[in-house]
Amino acid sequence: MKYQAVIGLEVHAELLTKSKMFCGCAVVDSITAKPNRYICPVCTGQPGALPVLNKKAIELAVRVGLALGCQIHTESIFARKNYFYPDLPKGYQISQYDQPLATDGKIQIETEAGIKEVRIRRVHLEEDTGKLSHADAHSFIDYNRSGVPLLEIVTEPDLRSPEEVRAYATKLHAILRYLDVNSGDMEKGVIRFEANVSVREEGSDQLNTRTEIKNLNSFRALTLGTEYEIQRQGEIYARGGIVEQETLGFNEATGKTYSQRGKEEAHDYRYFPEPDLPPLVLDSAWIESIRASLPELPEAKMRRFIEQYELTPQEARLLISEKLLADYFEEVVSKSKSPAKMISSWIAGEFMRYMNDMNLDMAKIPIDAEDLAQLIDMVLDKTVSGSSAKVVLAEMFKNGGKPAEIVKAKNLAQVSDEGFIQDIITKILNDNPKEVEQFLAGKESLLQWFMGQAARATRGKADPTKTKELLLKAVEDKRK
Amino acid sequence: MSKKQELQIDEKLVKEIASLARLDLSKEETEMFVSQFKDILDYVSILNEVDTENVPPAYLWSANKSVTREDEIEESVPMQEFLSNAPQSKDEYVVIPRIHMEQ
Amino acid sequence: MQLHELSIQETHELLSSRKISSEELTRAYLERIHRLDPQIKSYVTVADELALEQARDADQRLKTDESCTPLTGIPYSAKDSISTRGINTTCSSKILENYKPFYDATAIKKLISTNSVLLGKNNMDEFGMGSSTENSGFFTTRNPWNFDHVPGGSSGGSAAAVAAGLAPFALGEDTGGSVRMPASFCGITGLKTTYGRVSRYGLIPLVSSFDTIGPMALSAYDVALVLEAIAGHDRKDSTSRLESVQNYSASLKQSENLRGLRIGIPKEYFVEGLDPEVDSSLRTAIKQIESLGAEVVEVSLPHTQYAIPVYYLISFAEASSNLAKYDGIRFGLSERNAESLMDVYLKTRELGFGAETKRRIMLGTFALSAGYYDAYYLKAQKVRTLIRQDFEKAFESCDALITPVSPTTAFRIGEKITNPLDMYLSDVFVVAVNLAGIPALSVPCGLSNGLPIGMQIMGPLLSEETLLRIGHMYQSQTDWHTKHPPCWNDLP
Repeated sequence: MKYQAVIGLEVHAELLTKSKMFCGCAVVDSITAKPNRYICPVCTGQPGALPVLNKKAIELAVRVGLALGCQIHTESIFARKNYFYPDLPKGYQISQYDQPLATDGKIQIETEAGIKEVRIRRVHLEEDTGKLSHADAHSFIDYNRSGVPLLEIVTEPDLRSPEEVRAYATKLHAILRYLDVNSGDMEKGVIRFEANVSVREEGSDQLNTRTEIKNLNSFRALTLGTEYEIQRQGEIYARGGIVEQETLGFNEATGKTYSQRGKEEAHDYRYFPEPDLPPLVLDSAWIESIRASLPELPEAKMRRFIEQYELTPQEARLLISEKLLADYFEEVVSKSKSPAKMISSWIAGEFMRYMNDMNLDMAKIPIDAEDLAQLIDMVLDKTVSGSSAKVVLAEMFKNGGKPAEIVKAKNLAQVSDEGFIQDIITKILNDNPKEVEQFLAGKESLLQWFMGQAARATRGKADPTKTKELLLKAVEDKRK
Repeated sequence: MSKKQELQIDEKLVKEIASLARLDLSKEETEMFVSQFKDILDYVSILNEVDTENVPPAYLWSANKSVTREDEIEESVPMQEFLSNAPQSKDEYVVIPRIHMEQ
Repeated sequence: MQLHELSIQETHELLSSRKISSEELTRAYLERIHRLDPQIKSYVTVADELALEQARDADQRLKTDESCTPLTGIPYSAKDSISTRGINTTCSSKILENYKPFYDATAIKKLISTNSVLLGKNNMDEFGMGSSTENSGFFTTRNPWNFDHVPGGSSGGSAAAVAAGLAPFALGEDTGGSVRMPASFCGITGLKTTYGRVSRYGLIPLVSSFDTIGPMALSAYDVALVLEAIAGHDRKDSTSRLESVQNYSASLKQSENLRGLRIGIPKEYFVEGLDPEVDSSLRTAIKQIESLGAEVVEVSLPHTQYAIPVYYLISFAEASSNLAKYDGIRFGLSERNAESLMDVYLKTRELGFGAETKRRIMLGTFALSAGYYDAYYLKAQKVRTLIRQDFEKAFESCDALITPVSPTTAFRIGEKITNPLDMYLSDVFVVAVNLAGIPALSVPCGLSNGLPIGMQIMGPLLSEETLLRIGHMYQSQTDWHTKHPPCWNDLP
């Protein structure tokens, strides 16, 4: 019996607004902020407090809806989702149920089998809950996060494998970053993924019982979690068992999903329209102006990079993975004489290496585009050798400074003076007759060794092309 | 709505509702609610005689539409004022008996 | 003449001419309260020290400031569902018995800015659930006209306080007749405002779709003075109306008669079951209004009989949701002698809520639950639209409607409390108004066996000026509003 996975993804993304969804309290990093500092009667559910909609949150939600190809509903209503939980101060969450903000969108994902369309069922606005922590016999509640604007994006159960799940998740994540609506930091929980997983016989079109896996905090967890769950359910069906509808957590250490509650409580949320908020009516002209100001999305940017800069898909993919990186790349290109491909390779290579090793934030790139452009141009016009340039870059990352100044200070200017190089080569060949013999006998790899010797002797300053040229000539001369 | 026809007002239903509403009813209260539910629901069933085909629900009408506020930060309430009302608090958190399983 | 016998206008004149001080005035009221209220029980909390402090502030302003308002230095009380910072706001429920909000309701803030003086908080049916104040979690307020009878509800404490001369005016709250019924039972003037006319920010909600704050006082003119001060748009309340607030009192001063006004009499409100004395008082009052120049026409509100089931379904549903925040976690009663959080919830709510509150939460939870939503809540919301349309249609042929407030005068304490359905049915004349969001004024128009009878004047949305004008003109020709209960002249 071959089983097919049927997966839908629900994503909750905190919106990058200054203030909360229904009140003016500041939106802060609830992990680092001191507890219960950013609160008011509204977000702590005091009796008599009332919600007022944050205009910016609506704008960001419309932005996302448009980017996902959804229909934006000019009239939508808010609803109360009623349940008891200590991080939910009012005893209900203000969300949207019937008549959400946007529905019927789609995005394309790349899979091994090709391009696939994933349908977006709905995009709606709601508020986040407070945060719970636990110790000993107690739990502790911090309401800083209560009321933060949240966007919920739900797909149809169109995903068929953990790979597709990952492809969708990474694409959506990139889009949200591109739209500048969410900071993308999964570890901080500002974007949360939940997978609804069920399994059925291949070829069948019925929908079986599904489970909900929560708190998948990384792309890795998302992939592994769904993979495990698909297998678990398949095994249950294979031995004639029944899959229970339940909420599951995922333990990344063991790689297994686990049931999150002893007795599954019936979730009757008793949705009804929120009487404290009038219907939200959006002006079509306003929606169109948001559409017009949408930034170029990852897919379009990638295509353009390939075409405009003559990059390979691989090269383009890396650059567009982060909007800020793509922007930086283009800025460097605009300030440089060097070919885009060369700039791309510098950024993908040395530049990213330092960014990652030093754990730097793409929002705070320590090197001005202009300066990187200058450095790469210096390599292009052979003012410095490639390896010297790497040294300069390291210095720029560690201590700042302009490339030309660093080259001067460290005496790294490339030497192309034939005579100078020739002298060095002559000395190396004379000092190492055995190696010369071996090379002439066919040990080609010694060329690298000779190059290394020359680089050392010139402290990396010798133009490698010239060096190689002269070396080969000199060695050949020896043959005679 | 077939469920309406099947409506069985009994202790089981009352207990389910009580659980959803986080009310701990005594046996007497449960029994009393069963008969009161019946009476009241019987009474409100008079609404079935009204033809509401094509009548929009009243909540779609509002004197105000699209009331929003600018995304500006306003002063928050001092933590102490908020915590002073809490039945139990510690180190700037509101405290409750430990919850063992996440939702 | 004693201080409590003066109208707000008269008191204002004495204060601004410095013939009396607000502190004197406040002391006089506090003295009366401490002497008479143990029998009437209209106050849950009397804030003596704070009141005197506010009075002294008012006196400062009266001395030095040109911009005094008619309410500057005037004492008042507020229903205990209106948030008052630092002062117990209990909704007459054990679950909020010691709850002190850390913020003021907008309506209170406005009265702070006029330097009015808050005497204390009035008793009510728990969370506003009831029509007699017998559902208070603490004690039942007595009708000042006859202590064996109810004052009406749920703003029974506010009405009794004003009727007994324990406050010149009070802020009440009307969700399903809660200002009008007690005003009628206690022989005072009370206004249910247009939904959204007065900000709900800080009003502890019962039914978010219907709740309104309204003034209660001894005359339509006094009510107008208070309305001017508390009405207006509030950006903290998304349902608050944007329209500007009229100068109601000026309009009343200028009115001479009711010529040109058409008064509609809805036939569905004058039916069997109406106490014959209530019926005849109403008819006399209508004649009086006619004699002031108004034209009387008969109209029909065909869906009247459905108002009560619609009201109760929607109100139970919303109340069940609004009361979920009383969970023993952030404020209020919390039963911590518990093994788990679930225990805290269950024990706290079991101990903290009275029987009627629990009943409504149960019914409301049921009405919203999966499978029943369409048949109950949604159906009720649709019929509500029809009821609203009834009023819109009626107002095409008239400017205001006049009806009784209650089929009877104040009933005896204990008479209806055993059968909830009986209690609900006594709301027959008042709830439709809340469903449509329109304003309605209750004005005394008779006495039967020593108990007051009230007349209800309803108008289209934002027609408070018309209603107050009718009430004011009626009061210029009659003296029902000047009659007082026996305890009014109770001297030491």
